[in-house]
Amino acid sequence: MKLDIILAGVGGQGILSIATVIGYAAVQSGLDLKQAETHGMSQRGGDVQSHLRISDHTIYSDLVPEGAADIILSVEPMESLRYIPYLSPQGWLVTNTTPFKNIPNYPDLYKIIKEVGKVPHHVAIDADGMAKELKNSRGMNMVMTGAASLFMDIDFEKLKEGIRYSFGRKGQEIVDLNIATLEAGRKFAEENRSS
Amino acid sequence: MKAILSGNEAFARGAYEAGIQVVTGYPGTPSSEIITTIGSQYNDDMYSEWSTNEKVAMDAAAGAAYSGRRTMVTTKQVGMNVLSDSLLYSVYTGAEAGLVVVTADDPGLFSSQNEQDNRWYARLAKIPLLEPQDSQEAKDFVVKGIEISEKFDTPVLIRSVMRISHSKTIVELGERPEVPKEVGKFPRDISKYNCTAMYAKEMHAKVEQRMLDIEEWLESSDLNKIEWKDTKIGIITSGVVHTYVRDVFPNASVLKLGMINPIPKKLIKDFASKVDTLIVVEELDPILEEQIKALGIEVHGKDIFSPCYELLPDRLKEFAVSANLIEAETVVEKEEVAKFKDIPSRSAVFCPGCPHRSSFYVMNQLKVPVAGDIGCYNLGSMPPFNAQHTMGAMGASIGVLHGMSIAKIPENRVCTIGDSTFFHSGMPPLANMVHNGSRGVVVIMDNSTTAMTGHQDHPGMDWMVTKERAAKKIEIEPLVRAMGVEKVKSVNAFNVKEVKRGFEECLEFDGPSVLITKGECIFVSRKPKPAFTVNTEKCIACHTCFRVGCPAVVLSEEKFEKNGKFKSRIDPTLCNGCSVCSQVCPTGAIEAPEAGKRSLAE
Repeated sequence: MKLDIILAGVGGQGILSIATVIGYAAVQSGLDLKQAETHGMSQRGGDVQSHLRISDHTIYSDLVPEGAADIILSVEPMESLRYIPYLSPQGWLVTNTTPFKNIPNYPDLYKIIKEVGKVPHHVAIDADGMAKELKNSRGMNMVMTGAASLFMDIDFEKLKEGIRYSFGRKGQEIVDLNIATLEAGRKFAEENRSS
Repeated sequence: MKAILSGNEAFARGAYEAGIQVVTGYPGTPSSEIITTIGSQYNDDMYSEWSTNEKVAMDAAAGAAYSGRRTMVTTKQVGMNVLSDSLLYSVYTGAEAGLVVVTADDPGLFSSQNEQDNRWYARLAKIPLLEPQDSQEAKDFVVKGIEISEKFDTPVLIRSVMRISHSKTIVELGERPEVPKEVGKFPRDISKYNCTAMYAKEMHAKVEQRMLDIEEWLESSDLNKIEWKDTKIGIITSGVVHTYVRDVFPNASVLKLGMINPIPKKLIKDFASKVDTLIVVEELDPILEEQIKALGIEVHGKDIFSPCYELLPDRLKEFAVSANLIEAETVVEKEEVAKFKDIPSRSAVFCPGCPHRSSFYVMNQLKVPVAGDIGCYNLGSMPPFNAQHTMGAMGASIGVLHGMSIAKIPENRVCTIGDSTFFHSGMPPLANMVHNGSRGVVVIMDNSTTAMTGHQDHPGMDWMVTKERAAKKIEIEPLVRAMGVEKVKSVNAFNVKEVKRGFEECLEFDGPSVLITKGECIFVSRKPKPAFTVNTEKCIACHTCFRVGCPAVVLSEEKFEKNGKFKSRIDPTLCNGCSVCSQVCPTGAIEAPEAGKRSLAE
């Protein structure tokens, strides 16, 4: 089994918390894992990406080659398009539809969503809206993780363990809320996947 | 136990498992998180500090290692230039306990002014150099580095790169060995620790012999590994590039070097003799390649692979295909999906609420030449400010300003330097300006932190790396007065008029002057104020507010009839309420929030 994920978003949106949950689940499943990040100036509202490679074989490079990503998990719609050259023909584009507009020349959102729709395998989800509905205003990332989990060959229970590990020190209530958020994201993907 | 650690967290863990007791360094991407991790997680077992600069860190480390403490120094690649003076004497002396220096290089220039290859320093200084390929080796090589350091009585250099320091991989954790809590009296061994010429002469001969001893030991060490496969192509490589090589050349035989200075000559000769074509794959300079060529071995390297930038797998593959080392993959014609053109980049800008904004707005208006320095304020070289005209090295701005003065350029001049950079290396050139009667305005942009590298402490702050509020804070204004600067002015960085008056006053002064713009980094104060709003009745779409270069100032969808341009709008989710845009608005259209309204940024 190999699972190459590109995580995309804008500095400050917290894509690393997604990597922590999935990474924990992978290690608990006895899989190898490598995660590439770039820090530095990208902290300040720049575009950020992280490559997450998971496999039951030894992983060498921590970087996903072009055309090889099984999943692009983007917490921002325009950013999801930036990494499409990485997506494998069978790969899934899972993106949030809530834009993060910190630049004056942000393109028309309608056009962006239309482009997402052209990807054969995709899930577009208003993760910010769903998180708010679930009274988990900071839960957008877990909605996205839940939605993408449908396309990961990782035990869903192990992802929940990842949430317990990541959010444990914030108390049981926060853990339960985030597990519910994760499940809601997954359910949305089950019902709304493109194919 | 297994953990997922970044390379920098793994270096910190390695220090713990190597029994290191003292860690010093100066922040610099991509190395900063090593000391941040030690300060926050291993504080009970190790003393760590952000030193004033890398040289100070190296001297402190030498002193601690002379005193019998296992010690580590961390730096980014250009910081090595600053600490190298002290590294070189410590190579001559050795120490009573292990001493390792971790340098994090930046191939690809993600956050550096150059792409220098610090492997040269190992050759220059004549010290062993280890290069890990992932977090596991990052941790293991610190332990190994201390062993080698103590076995051969030499400092050991460990080279990381951004891809090691910031990538996360699985690490098997070990334990910390017993280390003595107390050390004895300082050794009074003058012929060992005093590099005066008569002793240094003997030390040099010892250093040469030491490198020969290490080379002999290395031939049978497990640091270097051969992976035998097809022998048509044999590749010699090291560090993170080894992982790329394994992906791109899955069938080639590979000699992976863990120690790359000195090189294991016998092992390399033996490997070369058993493969048809020998190739060195190394990022940046041909350091291994030239040494292998010097052994009389035919080898390919920089004739195939560029000496610039990273050799990431996709790029490595392109070079390998052009050289017919591997076959090109048949490109499957993909359906035309979502090739969305012109996705705008989100380049770094001054954060909303940044105290530097006003100064660059003013400098842009004054049209003065500005010598710049290293820190967030270098973003002032970008549009709309275009107001930092040089930048090269830490502390360089004040010296360059002095150079403009002695060159007698026809206009008055300014330089910008941050508070941390001023303490790092700005004081000697300021003393030079004062002593030699220079003229120019030194703007010290005091935002109460080392911002660009992730908000570390420096001598102008009252806390330490461990977050203890125990540090003695040095005030900049009395300091520069004591250095003999006669014209010193402190202003509130968020008040545009005050900043402008400060500049004008200092520019008039015939001599060296210092303007201190004081305003906390938004990440330090963490006190965003309520967002401002644009009164569309008053906005005349003149776009003056765009000249403050704030990401919260955006175009609205409403046009101003007279000039047909879109009016401005403030993004309420981004605005931190610093008010700089409203201060420059000619019609007073940008209005403060109503009293009592909660901040949207909360």
